[in-house]
Amino acid sequence: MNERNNMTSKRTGIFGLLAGIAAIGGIAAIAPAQNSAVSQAISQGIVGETASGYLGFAQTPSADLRAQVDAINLSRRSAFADLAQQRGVTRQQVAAETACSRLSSVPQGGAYQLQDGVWRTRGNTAIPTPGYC
Amino acid sequence: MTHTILTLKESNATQGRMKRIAPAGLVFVATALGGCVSVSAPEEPIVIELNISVQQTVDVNLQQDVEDLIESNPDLFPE
Repeated sequence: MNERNNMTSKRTGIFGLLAGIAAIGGIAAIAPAQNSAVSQAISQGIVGETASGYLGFAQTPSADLRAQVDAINLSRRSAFADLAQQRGVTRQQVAAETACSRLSSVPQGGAYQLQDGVWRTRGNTAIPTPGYC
Repeated sequence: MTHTILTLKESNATQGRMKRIAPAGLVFVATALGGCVSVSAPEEPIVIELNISVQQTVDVNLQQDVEDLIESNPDLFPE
């Protein structure tokens, strides 16, 4: 019975993902020009991943940078909602799972924020994963 | 035919054994009754284990979907 359930959810998951990607495509098309600025801000430790699954500001950003990051977060929210609907889970669960993945790949020197709300910079050691991962 | 004989023999043997054990072990069974009640306990952990294993596979699948989402949308997840 487990196997059958898994197969069903896997199948709907893949279809959901495709639908989600198609939906995001329109928004993502605007993004390329923004990416370099946001990537630069990430490498500078101004912008970083948070335990909520969204980007946040470790330092006060410029208005332009804030707008770009806000746009990315809105697109993420939409993508999370699509995947959540297809998988029958909440958007928050998808966001949390995303945070687990993103926090584990923060580069050295990159800023990140755990559930305690404190911004830290990653050193040589791996970031302690949040309890929900 | 053969089956009938075997079945009869088996039931006879079982009945014989029970008659012998019942009077001798009655006191022990009565004192160990607390232990016998815990027969229901093994059933619950099995159910809980099953639930956990289902939850884990769901999480693993979601994890994979999230990885796919991240890889497919580099604009949403800039490095």
